[in-house]
Amino acid sequence: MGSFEYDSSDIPDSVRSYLRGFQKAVDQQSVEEILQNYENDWNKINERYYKTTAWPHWKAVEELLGPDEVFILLYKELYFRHVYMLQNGPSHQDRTDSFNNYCEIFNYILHPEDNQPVQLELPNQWLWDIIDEFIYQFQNYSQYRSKLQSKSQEEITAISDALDENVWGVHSVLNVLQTLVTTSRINQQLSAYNEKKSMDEVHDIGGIFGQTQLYKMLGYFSLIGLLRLQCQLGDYHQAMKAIENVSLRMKTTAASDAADCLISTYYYEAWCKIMTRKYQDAIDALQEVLLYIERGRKTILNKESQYKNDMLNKMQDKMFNMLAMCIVLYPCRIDESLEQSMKEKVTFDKLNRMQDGDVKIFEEIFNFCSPKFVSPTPPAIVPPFINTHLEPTVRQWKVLEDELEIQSKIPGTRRYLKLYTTMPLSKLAGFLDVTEQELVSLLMTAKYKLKNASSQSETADDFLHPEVDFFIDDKMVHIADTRVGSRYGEQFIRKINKFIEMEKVITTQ
Amino acid sequence: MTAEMSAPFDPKSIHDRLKDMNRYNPENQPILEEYVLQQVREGEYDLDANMALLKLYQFYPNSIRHEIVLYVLLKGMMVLPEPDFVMYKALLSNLNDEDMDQSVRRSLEIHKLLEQCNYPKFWEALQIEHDMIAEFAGFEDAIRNHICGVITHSFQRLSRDLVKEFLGIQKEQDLNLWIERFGWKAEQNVIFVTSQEDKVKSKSIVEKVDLSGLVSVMRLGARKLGK
Repeated sequence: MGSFEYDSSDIPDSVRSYLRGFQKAVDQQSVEEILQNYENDWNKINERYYKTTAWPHWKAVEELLGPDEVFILLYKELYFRHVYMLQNGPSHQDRTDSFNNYCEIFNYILHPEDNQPVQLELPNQWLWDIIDEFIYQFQNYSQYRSKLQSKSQEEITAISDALDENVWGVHSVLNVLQTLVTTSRINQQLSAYNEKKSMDEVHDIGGIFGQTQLYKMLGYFSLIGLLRLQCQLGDYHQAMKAIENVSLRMKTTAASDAADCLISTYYYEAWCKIMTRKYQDAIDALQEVLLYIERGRKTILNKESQYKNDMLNKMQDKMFNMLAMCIVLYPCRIDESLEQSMKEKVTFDKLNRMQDGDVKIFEEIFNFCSPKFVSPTPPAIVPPFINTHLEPTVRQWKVLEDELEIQSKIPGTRRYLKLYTTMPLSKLAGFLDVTEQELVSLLMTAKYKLKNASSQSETADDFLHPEVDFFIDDKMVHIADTRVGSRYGEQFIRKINKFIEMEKVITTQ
Repeated sequence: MTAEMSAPFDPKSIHDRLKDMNRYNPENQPILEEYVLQQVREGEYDLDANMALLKLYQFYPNSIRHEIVLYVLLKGMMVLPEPDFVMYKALLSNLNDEDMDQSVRRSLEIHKLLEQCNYPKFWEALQIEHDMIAEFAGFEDAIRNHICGVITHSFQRLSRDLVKEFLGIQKEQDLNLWIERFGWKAEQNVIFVTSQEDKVKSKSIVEKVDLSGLVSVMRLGARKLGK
């Protein structure tokens, strides 16, 4: 194909000057300008010219701007990201080209010729987006190649060939993330940070690569990437290990530039906790992030990207559903405003059905808010060509379903317990229509689940006490409930702070 | 297997192999499998190594050895209430399949009985599958330990007969050993486990207003007063 196919003369003037400005900003490493170009200007031009078509081909851009290896790599990253969002989605060739582009980008960053950190500075939001998109495209490809049913022979052959070349292989993805983590020495840096070492010491620990913003942030974002990827592979152990050094403070610090990173972190962390029965931990995480979104909505939604806003809203919905599931399994008092929003979003009907142990509604909610689970191995590319892309999700559902089955009668039991302070076992068994033996098992299970819902100690300040607690004394059940006084103080403080904010805004206008 | 890596394996050298990308190296597989067998025989336990092995099985499903999977799951049962068993389960790529290994399937069912605190049925099932755990050092004791933990959380007092049923033991001397181990008190036919009344009390949690939250409010107040 001659270069005349990728003619830059089709590119509108405003786009040309945009691209030139963008390139200049990247070359001069002026992060503020790059961010402006990356977020605001890109979205404006996108809205105007490229809502339904791809951006100019990179060869045309290269012709326009002259050779610029780094900028073209970055441009291609954006180009393909955009292709994925178009209605028809990416072709197989697009997917392969995008993968190869990522390989080139990471190769450039991780294997510089002179073994020195590359001279590149990018805004944190972009760095996070690169990692996030990289994993997203891997997940997308895994699902794509598992849906063999309605593919043409041509496509199937392409997939088969790509397999041989390890395109979007799980090892490659893991390798990239792992190497970014190792090169930046991010875990060692975080450890030192947690041990309250001085910033200079932390800096030194980072080594020549980890000291620079680029590598350090890519390292940190890779930890979150690993949390996500491992969770999607069903490995909750590795997922939690990935963020074992990430303190609460660090999560919020890193999020100051990339709010969706923080949200992602909490989302996947909460899933790991749900799948390992640590419901209280999950509730903790979900409350943190949902309050964060509620309080910071204006600044988070400040971007010009409708797409990102939609993503945020969707995430929020998912997390309210997750919270609802956790509250059913571990009833405790949560923040009042969250409780209110949760009841609105999830509806009383669904909440009641979950309380009744209706497994179908749990399945519905699970399918709505679970991560996209993927299999690390491709299906065999032999007839009959069927769709197997949902299997990983079904498997994880089975793990959760088994757990729910174990707990299915507990919410109903709790309803009776709430009404009394003491009750003979025989009477309660009668109410629940079970034998006394079955009741004892039920109560022991309920207690067992309550006790193991958290990795925290019961004496911790922010331990969430279960609403209903009980014990068995020979043939009697003794019940205690936890009443939480209305949190007027907290509400007043919040409202006062809001007024202070509003006052600032009004008086500065 | 190279000469340095024959049993007995020590955790440190195993974990050195599992660093970074080498974790996904299929050459680790035979060593990790041997390590599982060592854990079974010697009564040791290594979550991370076992997860790494199951992950290799997930990545290379043609190399799965079902009896090793079974052993890992049973090991996971021994450390209840830790969620290890569930984490192992989540990595099994044939979890839903009809042709799932029978013994593995059986172990999942037995685990469920444990989780539902259906202890009499559990011991019954275990009796039938006794070969499964024949090699396991300390399996039954580990389970009994776990069950006693559950009893300690749930009961203030319960009958001796009930405890024997839960622990799957018949002899009085065996029961006395467990009573002593957990510091319970035997009162004729009833065992006093622990005073739950102190732990399980109706609580009224009064709001604690954190001083730091008040700072901005007090500042505002001060400003207003200063005007």
